[in-house]
Amino acid sequence: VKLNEKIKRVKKSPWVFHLNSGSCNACDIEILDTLTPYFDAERLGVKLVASPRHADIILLTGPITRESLPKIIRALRAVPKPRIVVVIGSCAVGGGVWWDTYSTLGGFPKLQEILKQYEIELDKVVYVPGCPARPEAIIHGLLLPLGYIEQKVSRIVKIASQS
Amino acid sequence: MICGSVTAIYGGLQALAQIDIKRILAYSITSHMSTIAIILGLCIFCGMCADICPANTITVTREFELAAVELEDLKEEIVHEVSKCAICGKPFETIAQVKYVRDSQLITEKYVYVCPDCRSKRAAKLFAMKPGEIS
Repeated sequence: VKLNEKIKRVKKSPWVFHLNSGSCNACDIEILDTLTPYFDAERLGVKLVASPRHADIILLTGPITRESLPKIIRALRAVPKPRIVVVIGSCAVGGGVWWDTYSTLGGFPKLQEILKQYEIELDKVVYVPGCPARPEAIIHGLLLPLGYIEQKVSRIVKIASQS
Repeated sequence: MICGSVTAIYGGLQALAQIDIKRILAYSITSHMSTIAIILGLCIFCGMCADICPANTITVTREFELAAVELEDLKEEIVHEVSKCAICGKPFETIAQVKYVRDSQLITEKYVYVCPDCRSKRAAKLFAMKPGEIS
């Protein structure tokens, strides 16, 4: 019964556009791995397209370098609404090891501030940590904004016992 | 007990403010509490922290369902109570670590509960004493 309900929620095939913002290509290889027959994201309708104008979901990898920033803004502006961005890899999520270098923005939250200045709205953003993110994690991250599954992590604050 | 929890929350909040500044595997000591935080959005999953952890409390798992809608969901924090120096009363180390050092190392209680500054001052005084003089 549960499975049937989940299948009813599937309304269309999410087409993805792969946007590299200066990553080391590890996350890019994992994205290609996701689309191969072994993990087979195409059974969920996920298809890699060549233009952001055709995409439903943007897969963003890499710490956003200064060189790539204008191209990223142009590509994100071309995406039709609703704009869904899946941020893949530790570099893209919070900067990773490049969190305070001079030549990168250091993570997606800072890019979002710049996008606000250009009045580009993002409807949904999902962060997928990992260095690189595993293909299973990327599939999990792809299905989260579409509502197929629910989020599993939440913030944890533990207070250590003094025994 | 209630007072303790309130200070715990206050110390935790203060530590969080510091984490935003550091934005990295953070370790901070406030007046009452010290916080260790792992932020998965910055972690590169190398496992070095698990390798060097002397108490074997950090472990690396094969869990992959870490996707989150908000960055706050990727934080994990542990709040420790801080022990105070027996001489000057300044907070210097977590109680758990002081206990670990006391139990595992050959060190007397005279040294364990004293902060490094007071220890060096005391050592300097001992060097300055004349032979036969008692502190």
